[in-house]
Amino acid sequence: MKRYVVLTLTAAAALALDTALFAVHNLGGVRPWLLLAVALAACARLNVQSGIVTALLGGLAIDAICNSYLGLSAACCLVSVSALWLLIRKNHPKAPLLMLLAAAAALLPAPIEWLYAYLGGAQYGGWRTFLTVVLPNAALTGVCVLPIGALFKWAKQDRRDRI
Amino acid sequence: MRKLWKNRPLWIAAVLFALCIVLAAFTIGDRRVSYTDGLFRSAALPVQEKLYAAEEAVRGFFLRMFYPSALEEENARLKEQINEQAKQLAFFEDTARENARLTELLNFTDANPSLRFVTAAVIGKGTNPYTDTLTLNVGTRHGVSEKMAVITADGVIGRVSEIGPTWCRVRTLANDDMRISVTVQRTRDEGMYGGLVTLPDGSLGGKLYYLPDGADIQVGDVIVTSGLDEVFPKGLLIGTVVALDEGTGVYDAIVQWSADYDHLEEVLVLAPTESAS
Repeated sequence: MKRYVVLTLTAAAALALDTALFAVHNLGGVRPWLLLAVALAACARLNVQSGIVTALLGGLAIDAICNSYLGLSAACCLVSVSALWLLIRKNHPKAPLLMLLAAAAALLPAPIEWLYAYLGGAQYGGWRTFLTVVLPNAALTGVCVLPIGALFKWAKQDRRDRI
Repeated sequence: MRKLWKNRPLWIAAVLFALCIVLAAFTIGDRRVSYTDGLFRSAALPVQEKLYAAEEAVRGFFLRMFYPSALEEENARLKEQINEQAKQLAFFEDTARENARLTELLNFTDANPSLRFVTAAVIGKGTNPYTDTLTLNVGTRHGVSEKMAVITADGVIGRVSEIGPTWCRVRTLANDDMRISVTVQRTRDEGMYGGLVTLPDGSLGGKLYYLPDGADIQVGDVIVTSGLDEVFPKGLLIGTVVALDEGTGVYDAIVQWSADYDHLEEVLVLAPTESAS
């Protein structure tokens, strides 16, 4: 039960930071996607179902609050979570490997976002945008998975184990 | 393959993904606010305001922590400014009263009734740079309605695209879907503004097209609204031309916006008077 309380609180905090803080203050578009980091960490350290539910509900909430295409963020998060799950399955990778895998999974939303921007009639910066925004964003998201994953790992431990 | 088929969570995720993609595809066009959508946004508005305020407080805390001397200097400078401005205030008040009287007379004689301003605070900004939007703290209760123009002293910001009782969302010039009928101030040539393009310095700008054949457009030309689209009154500043078409034929020129979108706090919503509407 405790793990899900921690997951809910963490997801709510990530949602608040994504929509209120990083939406306004970022370094030329470079910012971590915290909700995706929470979903990936939940998938890696709790179970895949937690990751899927967080990705779906959190993504829909972001789209509703930020007025982007409803369902796009949820779809992006679901792709990343599924990819990470395919990569690790029931293994428990160590922190550095998990960070790399999470960063790789965080790259997957880029083509979907590009496609929808293209269909919506927007121009994308191409490789320049990829190298200066998409890649750093994915790396930052991968880094954020580590502390969040550690928090979930702690929440998952039985009380007797900790004693 | 059979092993893959047994991965139930993966298939559930795939189905959810497909549903989300379809849902997103339905919202690519202009979104209309449904009853539930409006209800959700109205409920989320106070939370969004609080989050925005909390974020400002956190930012201020770190600013004071890391730059105390800079803040002290700024404080002293601001105090001086306040003293100076207090002296000017009396003069400005007289001028403002005179201006109000002259405006009243002008409105009385003008064929078009004057416009009404609704002052609004920016309480949210969209995260997607390709569908840039602002959320304001005024809505139908304040007399605002869809398609009203939003401006600052620097120029046009955008127009109201969605509305609720106490909030509205503004589609800005930095939105790829935005189209405005415009005039080149120097030559009076009419054209259309719309669509985003990346400027040589990496920032975003807007495209200017549909100018008449042989139009004399130059870098530095000022672009203003023409008033033909019946949303923006004539003569509002859009921006200046920073580059011309280099033979692509896609557009005639690139316009850099005059308004500063990164530091918007308060804006004016231009509402037509009752007689005009």
